[in-house]
This record gives sequence, C-alpha cells and structure tokens, in this order.
Amino acid sequence: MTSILPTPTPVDAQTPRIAQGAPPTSAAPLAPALSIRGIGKSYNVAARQSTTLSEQVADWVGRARTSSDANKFWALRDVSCEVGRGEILGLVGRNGAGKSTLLKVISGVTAPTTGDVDVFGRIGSLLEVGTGFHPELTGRENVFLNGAFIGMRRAEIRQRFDEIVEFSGVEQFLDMPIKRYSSGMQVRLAFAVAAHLDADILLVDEVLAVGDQAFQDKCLGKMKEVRQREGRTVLFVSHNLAAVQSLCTRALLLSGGKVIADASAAEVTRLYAAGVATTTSDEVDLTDVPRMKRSAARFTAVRVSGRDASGQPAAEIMAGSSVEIVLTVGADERVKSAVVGVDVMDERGRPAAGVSTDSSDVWFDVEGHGTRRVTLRLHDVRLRAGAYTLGLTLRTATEVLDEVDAVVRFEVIPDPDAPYERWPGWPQSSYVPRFEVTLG
Amino acid sequence: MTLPLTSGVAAAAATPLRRIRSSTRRTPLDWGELWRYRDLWLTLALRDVKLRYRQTALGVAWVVLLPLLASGIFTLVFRVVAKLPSDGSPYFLFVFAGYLGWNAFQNTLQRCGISLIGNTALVTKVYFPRIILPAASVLASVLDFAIGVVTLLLVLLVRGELPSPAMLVVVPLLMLILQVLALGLGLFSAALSVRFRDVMYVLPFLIQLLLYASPVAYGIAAVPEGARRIYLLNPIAPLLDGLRASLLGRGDLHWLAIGSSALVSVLVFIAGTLFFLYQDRQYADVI
Repeated sequence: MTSILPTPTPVDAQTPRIAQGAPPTSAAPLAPALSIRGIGKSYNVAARQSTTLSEQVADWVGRARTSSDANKFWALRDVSCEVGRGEILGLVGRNGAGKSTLLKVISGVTAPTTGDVDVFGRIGSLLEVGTGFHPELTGRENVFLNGAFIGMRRAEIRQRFDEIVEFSGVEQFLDMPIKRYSSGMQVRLAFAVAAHLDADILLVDEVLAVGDQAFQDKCLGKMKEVRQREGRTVLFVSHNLAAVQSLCTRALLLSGGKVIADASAAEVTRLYAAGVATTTSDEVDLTDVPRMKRSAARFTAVRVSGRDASGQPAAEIMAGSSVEIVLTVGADERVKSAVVGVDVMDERGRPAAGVSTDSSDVWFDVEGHGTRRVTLRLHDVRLRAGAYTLGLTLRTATEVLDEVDAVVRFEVIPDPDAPYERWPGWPQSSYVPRFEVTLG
Repeated sequence: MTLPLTSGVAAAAATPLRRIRSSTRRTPLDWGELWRYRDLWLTLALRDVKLRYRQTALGVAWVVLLPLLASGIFTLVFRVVAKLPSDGSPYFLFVFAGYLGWNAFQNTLQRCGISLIGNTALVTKVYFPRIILPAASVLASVLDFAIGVVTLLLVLLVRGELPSPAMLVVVPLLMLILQVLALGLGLFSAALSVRFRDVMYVLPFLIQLLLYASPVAYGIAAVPEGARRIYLLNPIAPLLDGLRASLLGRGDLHWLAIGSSALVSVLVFIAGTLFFLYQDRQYADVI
C-alpha cells in the first residue's frame, strides 16, 4: 500500500503548506526541516499466532502476507505535516494517540506502512532514560556511548565533554559505573548529552517527566536556547501542557492516530484540555480510555459534582464551595494498600490543586474481580473561575497501577458575594485543599 | 555557547538528508550514512572489549586463559585418551594454534547472533543503521585472537621454533576470510533471531557440531584420504588448518581449498547482508 497523496518533489517541499491556524511565526515560508506526507502505521495485532515458519518463508519469497484488516491496528493514519526550520512543534494527545509512534517513524526506528517522510538535516532523539546506557560502564564511558547512538562523533563529544558534564551536574560520579547512579542522575546525564548534540532536528519524547522541577526547568530553558540561538527544529511530545505552551510555536493534536488540529500551541492546548474531557456531573466511564499499560487494577469510572455549604448536591461548582469526586476502582487481581491521587489541572494543563489519599493515611485493598468506590470531598476549593480537568493516579507504595489524564472536565464559577481576589491566602500555585476520604 | 552548524544544515536546503519511504521492501545500504556512524561502530566494539572482563578478578588474563584451558582439555581427551596425532609440534601447541582461529570464528558468530535481541531497548527506541550492532562484534574477537597469537609466538620463541615471516601476511588474510564468513552467518542468525528466538538455542548447538567437523583437536592429515575432499567442503576447515600451519610453521597450505572458502565466505556475507536488510524494517516492531 502506498500513499494516496501526490508525492511532491523536494523542490515543492521548500515552500511548506501552511496548515490551518498556523502560528504567526511561520508567516514567511521557512526552509523545510521535515516533510511528512500521508504517514500511516499499522501493527498486526494477531502477530504472534500468524508467524509460522511457512508464512515467513512465503513472505521472504515475495508473496504479500494476507492478513485481514480486522487484525490490524492503525497507530497512525494519514498524518501529513510540514515542519519548517527553527520551529518547535508540540505533539499533544492522550496516551495511545500516536505521538510516540510518529516520532519513531520520523526518526527511522520503525518503518511507515503508508506515506513518506523527507528529512532535511540530521535527526537526534532524546532517548528515554537508560536507553543507550550500559549499566556496567562508567558515566564517562556512557557519555561517549550515548552520544554515539544519537549519531555524534567521538571527537565532537570529546570537544563538548566538559560542557556536557557541567550541565549534567554529576562531575563527582563520572568514573563510577552507571548502575550505581540514581535514576535522576541518569536522566540528567542523558539529557546533557543530547542537548549538546549538533542535530538539526531534535525529537524529545516525554523525557521531561522525570527529574526534579529545577532540572526540568533547566531542560526547558536549554531547549528554548537551542531554538533561538541555533535555529534548530524541535519536535516535543509532552503531557505537560504548560511546557508545550511556553516552548512550542505550533502544535499538533493527535487522536486515534489522526491529526485533529494543527495550530498554534495555545490553541491546541486549549482544544486538548476542552476536547478530550467531557463536561458533565454524570458518571464518566473510564474503561475504554487508552492507557500506557494494563496492570492489576485501574479506574473504571469517575464522577465530579459540586456541593453547597451544607453538603447537599449543587448544580454548579462555585469557588470556595466543596467538590465531590467519586472514583470507582476495579481489579483483576487482589491489590493491597492502594492509594488514589487526584490532580486538578487548569485549562493550560498547569496543576492547580492536588490531593492524595495517603496524606490522610487512607490506604485500601481491592479484591480480585472486585470494585471499590473512593469518595474524595474537597472543601473550600480555592480555584479561580474557569475550566479544570482531572488527572487520576492509582498506585501502591511500589508501583503505579493506573494513570488517566484529562478525562473529566468541570467548570468553576466565581462566587458573586466573595470575589476571590479579596480572599486572604489565595493560593498562587498548586495547593493541597482540605479534604476527606470515604471508602465504599 | 557557540555551536558550529553542521554541514547537514547547509546542505539541508535542497535535498533531504534521508528519505523514509513506505514502499521500499529492503532498507538500502547507505554507505554515506554508515560512514557517518563509523564512530558508533568503534564505540560499540570498544564497549564489548571493555565489558568482557570487567568486575572479574583476573581481568584480561581470561583472553589467554580460556583458550589455554580449552586446549588443555582437548590435549587430555584427544591426546592422552584417544591418542590422536599432531603434525609434529607438541600436541598442546598444535591444539592451541587451532583453537585460536576457531575461537575468533565462533565468538564473532555467537555475538552477532544475539546482537539484536540483546539490545532490544536500543532497537525499539533509537535509530542507527542496525547492521552496526552485529558488525561491532568483530573487533573483540580479532583482538582476542591477536593477543592469543602473541602468546603463542612467545612460547615458540622460547622453544626456538619461530615460523616463517610469511605468516605476517597469511595469518591476517586467513583471519579476514574467517571473519567475513562468521559475520555473514552472524547476520543471518541475528535477523532470524528477532522473530525466532529458537536461534538462541540452535546456534550454540550448531557451533558445537562445527567444532568437531573442523580441524581443531586433530589435523586434516588425520582425516582419511578418501573423505578429505568432502571434509574440505566445510569452508572453515582449510582456513583453520592454514592458520595453524602458518602459526606453527609446519605443513602446507591448501590454497585451492582456501580460495574456494574465500569465495563461499564472500557469497555468504553478501547473502547474509541482504537477508539482514530485507528484515530490517521489521526489527523494531517484531523484536
């Protein structure tokens, strides 16, 4: 199967097609960095059963494998996009939307099923923590190894070595095997190497999810600097909408493997926050929301509703009133001592408030094939008027069992009698509301 | 920080540096790209060398100790018990000289075979020409061989039996052919192992079998005259025999057989490379 789109010659590709709602920065046509045309990627879902030796041989001698469409899962469908030099393009979408697959196709790790990509320049990928590191090698040796994997020359690494080490902040441990590093130290070293790579196009996949806040800020700063000073192109996947918005000039919103919006970062993050979550005070079914992984237990439903001062259900959630969040957790196997965490995110994806049941010492068990209902009541919610979404985490002391982002959306309306600006102690950043937990 | 822009940027304007196509079946062998990634080959090869004996008490000594131990066992079994003849050298040195070549062959083959499945994280997450992974196995094997040869020559020096200087040309040449063959077979194994982990079990067995079909513990002279033609069809037989003959400075080289081995090796290498490249597009998805 080939692309149905006409294949423009590289000369055509020099004038990128400006997609709808393109940001002001690309008003003048940029030299192209990437030209992506009709990319699709399918995986054979029944792959395991169907690879017998005879089929494999049939495949080698050139007969096309006849796997029915029913067995195919399309991780990407007809994705087209022109990326100009110097653009920082954010890729936004839920887990399973195809963001990482797109980066893999662009970097060449995996081959597209349909469509073509022209890459104008050298690509560097910021690797996931640990990839490209060998635990037995020292930090110093791993800098060279990691650099080599992303295509750096040894001389180039040697030249930048001091800079890399300084940025990573792990000088004292350079001659220690990396297996004795903390994961934070490993991330810092990995990012430091990649940040000093002379790539024309840098692919960054969710790496910033690790590391402390200070280091994350440092990385974001570095990425901005990289763009401004050197005119490099960056493709940036993140769930952190605030980071996407502050860093990216433009963003793609992916859903179910398709591009559903190609516009300015602000517009796309707004669409994402609004679109993926439903505004409702009814119960929202979470069983079909795509997840990164499937473990023993997960959230099956959530309901958010307002409460008035006396604790009675209220039609709307008013600043300063109470919010009730009812979570249903289902388990395949018995899970002991689970904890639920809820993050309230504003429209730009910035955390506004967060609670976790372990902070009021509530740990609960879920029986195998059983469900458990966890009700969190947040009192005196100090949120400004606006739309919010929830990020839910289910974990035990050792393992994250389930994570769902931006699933349910709710509006907070201002209290006409007490505008929040006048309240003393109004939180400026994410805060922990007073709350209570009931298990059912 | 001032960064020199790479040549890639300057050249980027007109033609793409890389074209990714859904329609191609075989990953093209891009020589320019392989050249750009030559340092990855070196780094990976050095990683293999460095890692082999890290956190071991005896360290690099193992490079010599292992062939010595193997030769000792062969001597015990085949000389003391089975009373096989050598070519006139002490049987232990005879086996040691044969084992060095054999070891370089089987090390490359074995490490090539697991090079993809042993680096799953890399294969699924980072782009680089995949062929570099198996190709990096060669350096460590050849280095081990070189150290073994130096040890052998020292022993021969003490015994006053230095081989003719022609070995300085013949030994590297035969080793090159042997490595080309090992890499060719290794590329097949690596590509197959991505889908069929059976390779991990079959390969050591086949290697073991090949050891007995090759002149390591015995010389070609021990093979019955009538069966020798068939015996020399094993492409590594004339190579190992030739390596031993030139290292010990005894016996003749079977140039005709060596020539046909070289031809077979090159063909196997080309076929292995093509097979590897035809499978290349699937590695990240299937592994």
